[in-house]
Amino acid sequence: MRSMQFSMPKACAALCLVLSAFSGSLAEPILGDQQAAGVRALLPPRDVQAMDTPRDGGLSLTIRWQPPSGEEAGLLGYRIYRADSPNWEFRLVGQVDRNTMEYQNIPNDSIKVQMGKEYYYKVAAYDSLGEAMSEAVGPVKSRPTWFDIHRLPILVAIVLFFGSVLVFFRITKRGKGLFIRRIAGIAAMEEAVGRATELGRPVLYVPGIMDVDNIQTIASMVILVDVAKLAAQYDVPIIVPLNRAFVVPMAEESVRQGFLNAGRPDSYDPDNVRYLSDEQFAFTAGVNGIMVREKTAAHFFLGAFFAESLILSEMGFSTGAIQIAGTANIHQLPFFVVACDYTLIGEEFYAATAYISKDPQLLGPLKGADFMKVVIMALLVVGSLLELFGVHWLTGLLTLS
Amino acid sequence: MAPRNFIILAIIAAVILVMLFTGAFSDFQSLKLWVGALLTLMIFSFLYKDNPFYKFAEHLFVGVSAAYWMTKGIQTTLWPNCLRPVLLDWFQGGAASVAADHLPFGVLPYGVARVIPAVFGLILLTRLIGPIGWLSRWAMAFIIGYAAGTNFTRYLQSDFVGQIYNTLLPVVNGPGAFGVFVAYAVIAAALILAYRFLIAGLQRGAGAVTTRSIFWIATVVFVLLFATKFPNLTVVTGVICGLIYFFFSVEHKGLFGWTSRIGIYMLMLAFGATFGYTVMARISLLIGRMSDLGTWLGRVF
Amino acid sequence: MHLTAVHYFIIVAMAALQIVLGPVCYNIARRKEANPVKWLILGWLTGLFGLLFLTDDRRVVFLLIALAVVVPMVFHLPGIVATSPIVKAIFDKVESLPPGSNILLSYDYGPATVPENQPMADAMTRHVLVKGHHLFIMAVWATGERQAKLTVDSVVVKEFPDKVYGQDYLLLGYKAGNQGLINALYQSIRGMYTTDAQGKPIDDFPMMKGVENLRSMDLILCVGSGKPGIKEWVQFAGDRGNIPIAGGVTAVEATLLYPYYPRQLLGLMGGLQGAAEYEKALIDHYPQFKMTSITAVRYMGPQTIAHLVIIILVVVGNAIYFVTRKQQAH
Repeated sequence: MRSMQFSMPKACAALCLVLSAFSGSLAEPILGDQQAAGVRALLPPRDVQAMDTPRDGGLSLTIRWQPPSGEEAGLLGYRIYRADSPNWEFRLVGQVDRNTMEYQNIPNDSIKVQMGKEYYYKVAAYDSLGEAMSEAVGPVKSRPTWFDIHRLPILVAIVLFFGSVLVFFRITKRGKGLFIRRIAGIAAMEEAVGRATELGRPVLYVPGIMDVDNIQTIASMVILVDVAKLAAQYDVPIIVPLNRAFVVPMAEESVRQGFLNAGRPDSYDPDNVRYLSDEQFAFTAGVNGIMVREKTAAHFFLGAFFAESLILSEMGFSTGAIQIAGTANIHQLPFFVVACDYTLIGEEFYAATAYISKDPQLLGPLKGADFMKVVIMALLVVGSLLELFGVHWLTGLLTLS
Repeated sequence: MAPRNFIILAIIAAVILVMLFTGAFSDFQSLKLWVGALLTLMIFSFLYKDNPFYKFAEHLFVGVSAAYWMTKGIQTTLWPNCLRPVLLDWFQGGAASVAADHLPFGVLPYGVARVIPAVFGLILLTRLIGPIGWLSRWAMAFIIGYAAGTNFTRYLQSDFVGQIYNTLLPVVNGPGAFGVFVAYAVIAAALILAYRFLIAGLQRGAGAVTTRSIFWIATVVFVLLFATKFPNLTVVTGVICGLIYFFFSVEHKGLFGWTSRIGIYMLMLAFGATFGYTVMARISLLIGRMSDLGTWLGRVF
Repeated sequence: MHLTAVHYFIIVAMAALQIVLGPVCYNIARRKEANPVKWLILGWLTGLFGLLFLTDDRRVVFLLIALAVVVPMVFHLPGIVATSPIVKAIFDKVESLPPGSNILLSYDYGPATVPENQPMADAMTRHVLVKGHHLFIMAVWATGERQAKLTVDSVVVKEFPDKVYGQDYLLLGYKAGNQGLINALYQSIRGMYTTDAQGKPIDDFPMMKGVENLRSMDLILCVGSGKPGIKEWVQFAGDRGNIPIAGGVTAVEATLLYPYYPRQLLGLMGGLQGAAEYEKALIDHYPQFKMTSITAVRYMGPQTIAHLVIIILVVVGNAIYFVTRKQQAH
């Protein structure tokens, strides 16, 4: 009898053994099959981080992660979920492929990122069988970056440039003369007007084809005062054809001022400041007509020019006139260089205005620009030498992203 | 009738007859092709001499382009950006504004708020009215301020700091480059010395001309080979010498003058390249026109 | 190549012109009291060049250039085109992007520069679509939208019938604003474009999913001919958001943009030559485009001959100038 009596503890133990063996045998085939197939359960991504995206005006959040540990052959990609609280339901905000380890949650109509609001994120690796979700990370909130450290070189450039302009402006205002080197085109202006006087023919001054809001037109008006003064002194007519109606009062004022400066205000003829046409090639045809009919002997093309530059300068060349041109439009400089006797190239045109007017407001920026050129040259020499020896410190400093 | 006018009329009549005969008016595509070809030929006729056909085509172009840009301006700028939002907001209460956004403090819907820049645009026109022309300065100041503000940091980033960054290049790089550079430097020194002690002192004569020509050809070839072998050094040198040319605070004499001269030579090379590219562009456009004329001729015959 | 009646006519006409120019130069030389026999021979040997130097009439130059362009076109003279590194960089970038990448193509030109710009735009469109990328088409120029529609009608619809609008390519159209438009798109595309060019809401299109602003683009291509153009794209989008920018411009603009290459501008097609180089690269990799993407390559024949004529004129003209100057000095 005693041999056939079961003790409870032994029975329970036996039952547990049987059950575990049974569950093991149930589980075993699944895992065993998978193991046999070489596939294991998908693991979640590692090291998930959520942060404010820098330098985006507080509009977005960036989520980064590392791929799941071990080889995930069946991995298809990652899904990014978001919630306002770790206990709330997480909504899908985005999906990327398996090679991408970063997602930027940017605002669109359905899934807004509100600046300053806290969010929690989860990243799930998914394959054909399901997902493996990471733990929630957060809270994270977006905020604008007050200072973008990568743009520091621009701030330094602004401070240096404006600082040097202000310093030189104060120096020139105190009456101290600052040296500007001789510019061939400026020296030739008097020669050109003199030649027109000898031939008894008028001077033609074209201040470009742009409007008053263009800096080249304004610079041209400054030089026009001086050329008009020379024309008044030599008693030769000066014709100023114009392409924009808004420039007419400015040009009239400049020519009148020039004649006044020469002490000959009565010689000023307002009919010589002529608005021709707004249309580019109609204006060009008009100027060509003036060159041919009125046989102008000295041509000044100073201002903003475009496709008509070659037509004007070539027609002027064919009439035998002496021609001085100046523009900051780089496209047109080759044509002026080829067809004109003297050309003020780019910044020389602006330097001419400072040189002629001696205005501190023009001299200051010119000198400030010269100072910046010294800084640039020093940077180039030092930087190139550093690059030669494999030191990328300066290049890294100037990288803006 | 003057003979000239008679000839013009005869040409016009002949063209219309040919168009009728070849079915130019049969469909819109044919007519379009004919009109394009005829206008092209009218403009090309100026190459021989100025004539009424050229004048007609030029005036037609001026008129059509003015009208085109006016309608385009109304259709793509004035109507969608100004008139439509203002009218919609006025009559439909905020319907034109994106998500019914308002100016700060809920002052005005964005639609109606566009009246403000429209008023500025009208103020700009007051420049043509003498007594109140001073008002346009406000609008102009706004335009200039906006343009300066928008462009300032962009130009500083891309055209200033960005370009300095692009020019920070290792002037000599690659395996064995230093050795090659030393060899080139020796040849350059030899050329300079040859010029100083041999070429500069040559008298006139056929022999002198030949020697000078050979020397300068050799120098040009050497410079080209040098620039090809050391492009980074060429770029950095060109940039620095170009900057020196535009340096106005020092007289261009001595060493400064020599580097400034290299700078202006670099500029002239650039201008030559620009000139050549412009010629290429014009020839390309001519090829396009000739191709269209060829298509037209193929249709006609 | 098979010669037709037109070809024979041109050959005969050119030969007749060459023969006739001799006596014409003879007569003119006699009137000008120059050596008529010398000019008779020069006229026969150099043809129109001889007439040019004798008469100094610029209309002869016009005729020379016209012939230099027309004759190679009629005889389908091919140009020799090899893809340069600056153009190859654009091609390689489009090649290297994984299929399904977002590429924005901006049409910033008008009908005036179609011969240079249209082949560029067409070739890049073919390349982007054959690689299976998503092509977003827009225009910063008012006239660009029409050019974009031309490409869609003549290239996309005809050569890629399997491509679905809204899924593979999308025409956003033109919006006013110039560089302000680029600035606004950098923040949000939907802020400027609520509908496509046909007025349909852009959120209805599958390819707009996940595309928020310019930073959603893997590459921005621009075909331009002035301002605004590639320079503005570099300034307002490329440098700002580190987005790769590339494209093509007319030859006039090209020299201004070379300073941006390669750090700010991925690659650049300059003028017809650049377009031909891109087409060559495309044809070499995808021979199926051999008959369709050859516009610029075909144009390089007349381009080359015209350039040779101009070079001859420049060299000879300068030689005459220096000789004349020396004679005057003596």
